[in-house]
Amino acid sequence: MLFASQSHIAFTPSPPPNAAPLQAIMAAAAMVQAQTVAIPGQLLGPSNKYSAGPGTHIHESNLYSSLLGTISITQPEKTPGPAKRMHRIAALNTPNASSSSSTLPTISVSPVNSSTAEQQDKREVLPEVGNVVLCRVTRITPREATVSILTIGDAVLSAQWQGVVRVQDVRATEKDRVKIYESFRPGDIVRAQVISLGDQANYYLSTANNELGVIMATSEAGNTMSPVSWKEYKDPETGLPNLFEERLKAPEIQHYLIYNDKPVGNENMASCRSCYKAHQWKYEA
Amino acid sequence: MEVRVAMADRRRVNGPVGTTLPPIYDSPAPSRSRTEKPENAIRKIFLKTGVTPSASGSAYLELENPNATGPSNTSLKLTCTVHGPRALPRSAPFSPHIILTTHVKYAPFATKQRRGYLRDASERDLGVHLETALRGVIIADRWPKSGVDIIVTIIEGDQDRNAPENQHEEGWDTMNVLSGCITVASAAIADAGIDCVDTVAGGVAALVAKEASSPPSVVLDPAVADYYKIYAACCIAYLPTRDEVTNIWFKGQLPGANVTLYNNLVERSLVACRNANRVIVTALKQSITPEQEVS
Repeated sequence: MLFASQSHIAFTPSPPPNAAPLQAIMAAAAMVQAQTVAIPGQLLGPSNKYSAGPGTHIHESNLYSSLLGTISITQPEKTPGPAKRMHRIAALNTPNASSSSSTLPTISVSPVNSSTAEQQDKREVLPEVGNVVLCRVTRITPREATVSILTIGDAVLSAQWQGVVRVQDVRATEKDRVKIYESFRPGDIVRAQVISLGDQANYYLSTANNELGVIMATSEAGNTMSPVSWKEYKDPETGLPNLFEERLKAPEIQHYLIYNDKPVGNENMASCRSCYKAHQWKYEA
Repeated sequence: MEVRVAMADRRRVNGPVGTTLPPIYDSPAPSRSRTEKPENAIRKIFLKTGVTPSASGSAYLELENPNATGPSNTSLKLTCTVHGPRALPRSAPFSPHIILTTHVKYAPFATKQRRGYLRDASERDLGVHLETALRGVIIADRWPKSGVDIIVTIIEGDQDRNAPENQHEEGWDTMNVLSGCITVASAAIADAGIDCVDTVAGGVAALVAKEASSPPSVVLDPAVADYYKIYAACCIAYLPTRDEVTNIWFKGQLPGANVTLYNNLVERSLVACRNANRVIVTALKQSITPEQEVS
């Protein structure tokens, strides 16, 4: 560092070689979306005019690119009319949550680098807390189910990232009655949410949400099973329900309300015994 | 040292230990017409990214040899592959940031002295220098729980094949090799899409005597064979936009422990770094927009 500062005195500090495209970026900021290339370390603009998106970093109240790729500037979504009252509590990590940054256009650098599509697929995405992932169950123990994460959102992963659904994260209610072997089986495709970066090897995942759970399962006979209730899958060919009373946890789309093999509740609405919410009654077995 | 390493490697059929040299004739070699470099210039660099399809990112670097006598007019050839970010092995402890691993390896035929297949002390030393230079530029906490391997293979070391044996064998060429390693790894990391604060570039300045009688002078990017004697050299890894130095390697003896000379060497190597960085910027821009010639 000492030498670096001395060099400043010795040489007239020439403008950085990549300062020229800055004017182009500034001019393009007026548009809703602009496409320019950026290399790591390139100045993008002051941090009081833009908010930092993916692929950028802030240094001394200036925004710099941290990736090689194309610059895109997105204007914040304008709500028509006066701001509406919040109907639901937004999760902390959703991008629109921070109200201060939503007034600034977001500048981001996306690494659409190489010309070949094959290389674009290789771009790595890491699971982050809050992401909804699709994964395949690889191993079950009484305490947890080990899964390998296949996709994050829309991005297909090339690397192998391992996750774990612990027994207390399978369901939001009646946690003490959850049995892993009744909920998952190796080979099942599960939609889950990342709740923690976890320990040295595993991401910790949770299926304790109405949207989450097993979305594809095969029976012991090898047939694809279809959901029959909010918590049961059934083999359509053998017709057997399952050996297990509540083998699989199905997502909310199948919030069927069954008690003693009969639908409960009135024609339209019923109260789910597990999540205590009212659901549209749609029994279509 | 070399013999011991080769003996330890029992898994491969090793070549003969020792040097491979072109024949040396009694009559003096034709005097080479040395083309003088401009004072602020470094040797011409060829840099290209995305050369290895199986890697996440890769780059290839060549250094031109202006006084070439052989068919190849290069003096340094480096290739760098970046693998990752990928999951850490199960045995590794939890890490909130990316784990950087660097390997630098000479090809067996890269230098006059044949190298073994296992990394020797000088290669491990180069790897440590490279890791220090890169660690300051990567934004490590963008990639928790993951590792990245950076592998630099030296296909041709910066040596004069026609020079007689045991001349200039003081390892000055490793400084040039390190600066090339830093430059090529920087381009490969950017190609791999790993977050960086800047593009780091390597540069060398040296205090040399051009002839036996000439006074010492400071030159950029010294081609070792062109000079009568090298007193000291300085290899720096530098971030031009940030104006930060991530690694500095100073070697040799300065006459009379002259501090201003020391500062002068460091400043001259920063000039070499800026020159190399211009090549990186051009190569990276070309890799995004290949149809549009940037020069």
